[in-house]
Amino acid sequence: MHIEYTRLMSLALDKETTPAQATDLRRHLDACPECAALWQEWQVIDARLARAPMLAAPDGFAAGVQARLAAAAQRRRQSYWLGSGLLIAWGVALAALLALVGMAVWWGLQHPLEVSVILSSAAILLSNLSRLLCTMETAVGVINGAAFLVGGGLLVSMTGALALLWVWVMSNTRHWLRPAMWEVR
Amino acid sequence: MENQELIWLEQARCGDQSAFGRLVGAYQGPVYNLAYRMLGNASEAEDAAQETFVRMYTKLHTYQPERKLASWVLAIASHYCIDRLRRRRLVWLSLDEEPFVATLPTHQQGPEETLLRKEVRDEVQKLVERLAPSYRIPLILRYWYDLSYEEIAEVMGLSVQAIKSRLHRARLQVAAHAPTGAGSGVAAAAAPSQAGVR
Repeated sequence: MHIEYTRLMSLALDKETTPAQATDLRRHLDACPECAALWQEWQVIDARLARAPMLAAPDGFAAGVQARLAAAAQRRRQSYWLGSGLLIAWGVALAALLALVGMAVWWGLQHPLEVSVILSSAAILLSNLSRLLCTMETAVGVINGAAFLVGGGLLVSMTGALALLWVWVMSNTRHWLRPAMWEVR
Repeated sequence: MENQELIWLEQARCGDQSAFGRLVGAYQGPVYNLAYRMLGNASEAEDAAQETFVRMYTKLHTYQPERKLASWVLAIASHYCIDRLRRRRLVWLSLDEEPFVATLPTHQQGPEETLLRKEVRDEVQKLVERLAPSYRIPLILRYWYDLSYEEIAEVMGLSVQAIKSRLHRARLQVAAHAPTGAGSGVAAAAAPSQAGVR
């Protein structure tokens, strides 16, 4: 088999040979039985491939595509809601923290004497508390429980308020953070 | 037809779902056929073809009008099928699975003709499946879609020279795996014409 002539055979099957190439190939096939046999085989395969039918899509194919598009749009909507909700929560929490710190600093600057009294009282309190905690194991549980309840209550209230704010904003803003073209109508 | 499809595409870009549905209707046959020829499994082909249209929908804004729409759609389908073949590690095929075999309705077929077509389809599919994915695509586009070298090159993002080379190698591989033509009834039915070089 001569590989350079198989290249010409491939071109010939696609009717892409120049007249000179076609003549060259014809002469070679007359002289080379091996390539002539391969050419016969390639022609059979070519005809077989050319006769193979085009398959049709099954019934309900288009409906399946529509369902996939709807599901994809739903997933995108959910991710936008989740993403924007987290963004709002972060923003509000950060703003609240900054406001608290700012207020504390401002108040401290206005009342330096009270701040020093508070700090020293706090230090004494912490010192007493740690001593108390070390000595009274039962008191630890009570104090921890109370702190947990107060902290948890605050956290739940804050989260609820943020969630309500998020739902309200998303419900009242039609295209906010959601390109219209993704919507499945 | 291409102009009408471009209008549908523009409407689909603006969010018109029914226009996109018409585009799906226009291309579902070619895309499904390509997926089946690439993957060789009816359910996988349907899944891949549907996913192709989902990808097409998400890429509508990237379509450039100077490009032939059919080439663009087939490019999405062929790239997706190649990805799938690469990811494929294990193929779970039920022995009694009979793939969906509907062919485009041309005329009423008798049982013998239906059987012959099935025989041709199965035999051809086996030949195609022996090829590496990068050789399968040009062969499929050449024989089932009658695309020119330039169009195949556009679909695959390769040079015309590379397409010539791949088609050549694909034919060598197919010939190496093909059963001897003389003993096959299909081969006899598909005897070569005298057109061409000889």
